[in-house]
Parts: sequence; structure tokens; C-alpha cells
Amino acid sequence: MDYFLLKQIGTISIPKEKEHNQEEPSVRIMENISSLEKFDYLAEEALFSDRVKLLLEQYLIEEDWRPCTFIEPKKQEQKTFWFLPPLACTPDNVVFASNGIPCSVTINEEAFARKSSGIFYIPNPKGTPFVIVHMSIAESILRRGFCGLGFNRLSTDT
Amino acid sequence: MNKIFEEYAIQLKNQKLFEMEDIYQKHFPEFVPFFQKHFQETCENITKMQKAGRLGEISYLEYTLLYTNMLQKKETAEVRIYDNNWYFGDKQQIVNEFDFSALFTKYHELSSELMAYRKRFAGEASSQEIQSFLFSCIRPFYCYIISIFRYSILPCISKEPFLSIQRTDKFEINIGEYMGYTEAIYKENKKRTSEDSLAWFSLRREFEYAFEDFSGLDFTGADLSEIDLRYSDLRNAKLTSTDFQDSMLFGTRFCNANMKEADLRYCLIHEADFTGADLSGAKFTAAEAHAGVPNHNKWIITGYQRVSFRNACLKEADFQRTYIQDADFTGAVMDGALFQQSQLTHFELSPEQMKVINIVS
Repeated sequence: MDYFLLKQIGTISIPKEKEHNQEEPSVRIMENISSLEKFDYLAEEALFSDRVKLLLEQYLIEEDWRPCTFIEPKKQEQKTFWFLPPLACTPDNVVFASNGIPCSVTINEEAFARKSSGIFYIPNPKGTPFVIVHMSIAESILRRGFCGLGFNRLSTDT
Repeated sequence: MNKIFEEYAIQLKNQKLFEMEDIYQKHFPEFVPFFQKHFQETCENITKMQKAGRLGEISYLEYTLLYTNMLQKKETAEVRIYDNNWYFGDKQQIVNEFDFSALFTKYHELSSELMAYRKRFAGEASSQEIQSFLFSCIRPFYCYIISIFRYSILPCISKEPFLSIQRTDKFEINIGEYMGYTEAIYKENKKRTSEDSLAWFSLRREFEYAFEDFSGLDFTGADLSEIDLRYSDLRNAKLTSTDFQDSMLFGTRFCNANMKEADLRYCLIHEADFTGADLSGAKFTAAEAHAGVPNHNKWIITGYQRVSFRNACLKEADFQRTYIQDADFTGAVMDGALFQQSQLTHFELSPEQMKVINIVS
């Protein structure tokens, strides 16, 4: 039989979760906080909403997330977004198209397979960093029915 | 999503899947060459790359459905190859693309009908919610592509250019998603022996033997009763007097196996393939098989193909009290095979076969 009768035989101890560093939140005062409801990603600073964080945490288990809290003092309301944590992988080379968007990355696949969680940044000289995800993560997100995210395939040179 | 709309969407998905099931059952032979041609082309690409030194031995060949392609309205699977590190290796390469849009017509209909129906709900079902629902429907439609491939592959693996591909001792062909749900449709294990296999069989694992390679091995007289050998590969195996009583043999590949006097009583043999097997004196009493789906209320899996006895030798085989329907007996030698009068309506036997079988009341 593949079934077990569950019973208690002492005090139940639960393994400690990894202690995440409680990062200081960045606080922003704003008006009309409800306008943020429409957004899951604020590209300017790579900020993610709670629900997208919940999704990305599945792939970034070890990373610490720093909160960014938006406050509307008049209404006494607040909404938290999250900065994408610093991520280890750095591509060997990135080619940008004429519109400034990355079109190709060169990655040491062996190092990537061993070290990376499958998500990394490419710094953007003009400001907003570009978030790159491995195909395994893009596929995983889409087959779970998450919509509203776009994925443009980059060419790779290994 | 509005509840009424959601119920409608689920019901429409069910309907379109059953329509796909009808197409699959009626037009299956027409799809086979389409898949086989593509597989041959893929094998040619691989052998060229290996000859040019751009590729070593391969362990996995996968037809990978990509949701990222579907997002771009591109209904193509990538054919990817891997070494023995599989997804964790750095030697993954794309060797071909497979356009399956022609087999996704029912999915297209589902998509367009849902988008049209949405207009009645004045914004209560957003296009993103429908997209999300449609993405959840891709896998069951893709299951038909898996099934067609599964039945198309066997003739291709016994001839060139597949035979020239440099493969590791363990090799698999899989179809499915990238690092997600995949089904093996063919496996090779050149190192497996009859003794190892019998020791493994003695554990009577559930579904673990599926698509495993036991081809050409010798299980003469072995007790393989009450075993789960669904979709296992027993082609050319020696199975004389082997006891399979009460076993699950869905889709098991017995092509050209020697199964004289094999005991298949009470077995479930839906879509099993006995093509060319020697089943003289085999016992099928109370064995069960049918094609299609058991009911049309809710779509669960792709329907079964017909159990095949094509060109098999069924001399003096015992089919009394079987529940076998839709079986393909084309070219089978049936001298002295035993049938009950009441069953004959279930079997499509040729006039020549009818003359030589033994009918009991």
C-alpha cells in the first residue's frame, strides 16, 4: 500500500527556513495610489508587484527581495513592490539592436547551468535594466497560465 | 472570468477535443507519413552534423512544444538533442523545427469561437483571461501529436538514416514540453539483459516499464502475470509460454515476438501491437481491448488505437469469451483459432479467415 496513517509522536519540529535579510524598504510618497493596481512591473527601477514576486520566488529561492513601499498619506493606503534581487549571471557579451534593445547574448552555458537561477539582468546604459530569463522559466511561467508577460527570443552564441 | 463564460469555455474545450478525437480515429493513417517524413529529415540533419564533427553521440531527441512560440502564434515544436546530461548539459542543440499547425485546427476553432463569444459578456472576460484559458488547453491538444508520433515511429527506427545516428547505450525519443511534461515514445537500452529485466519485473512496479526497451530479450516461460507493461517494447522478444495473465498491456509493442502458447488471459490489451508476432496456441480468454474513448462525457485522454494482429500467426489461438473490439486482423494466419459464435460480430475477419477458424457455440 502507498498510504500512511499520520500521527504525532512528539513535538513537531519544522526545519528552519533560510533566514532572509530584512532589507530596509525604500519608501515613496505618491498621490492616487490606486493607479498602481494596473501594474505588475515598473520598468524604470525593475520593481515587481507582490503577485509577480510570488511567481519569481519559485525560481529565485535563495535571493533576498528588497521592498519598495508606495504610500498615499491622505488616504492612509500603501502598496508594496519589490526590487528584483541582484543576480549572479553576467553574459560574456551582449549585442544591442539599433533601438537599444538587446538582440543577442553570449553565455558560457556550462557556468550558467551550474550557477545561474535562470534569471539575470543586462544593464542598460540609458537606465532601466533588461531582465533576461532562460527558456525553462519562460516556458514554466506560460504553461501555468500567467499572461500579460511578453517574451522576445534572443539569439544566443555559446 | 464570468462563471457562465467559464462554463461555456470548458464545455467548448471538451467538444473540440472530442472532435479532434474523431479526426484522430478516422484520419490516423493519413497523418503517419507526415510525421515519418519529418522524423527522417531530422535524422538526416543529425547524421550530417555528426559526420561534420559538430555533434557527438546523442542520448535524447525531443520534439519540444514551446509556449513561447505559441505566444507568438507560431505553432512549431523545436527538435532538440541532448547528450547524457540532458537538460543539465551544455550541449543542447536545435536540429529541426516541426510545424504542427495543420493538426491544431480544433484548437484554432476553440480560440476563435471563445473570442467571438466573449463579445456577449461586455468586458467580463478579458482577452488575457481567455489567453490564459487557451494556454491551459494546449497540452491536451498536443497529446494527439504525441499519440500520432508514438504510432509512426516504429518503422523509422529500423532503417536509415536513424540507424546511422551515433547514439549512447541509453537513448530516448521524447515529445512534450521543455523541462515539463514529456512522454517517451521510444527508448533504447543496449546493455539490458534478460536476467536484469526479470529481477526488475519481480518488483512489479507500476508504469516504470513503460517504453523501456526489452526488445529481443528472452522471457521464455517466465511468470509475468499481474504486471504493468503498458507501452513497453517487447519487439522480437522470446515469450514462448510466458504467463501474462491479468496484466496491463496497453500499447505494448510485441511486434515479431515469439509468443507461442503465451497466456494472455484476462489481460487489458488496448492498442497493443502484435504485428507479425507468432501467437500460435496463445490464450486470450477474457482479454479486453477497444479503440477510441470509453465515454464521451468528459475528455480525459486521447482514445486508443485498434489492437493490431496484422500479419500475426494466430493458429489455434483461443479467443473465447474475449472482449476484444475493433481489432485489426489484416493478413493474420488464423487456422484453427477458436471463436464463439456470439462474438463474431465484434471481429472484422476476411472470408478466408472465416473459413479456417473454429467456431463454437
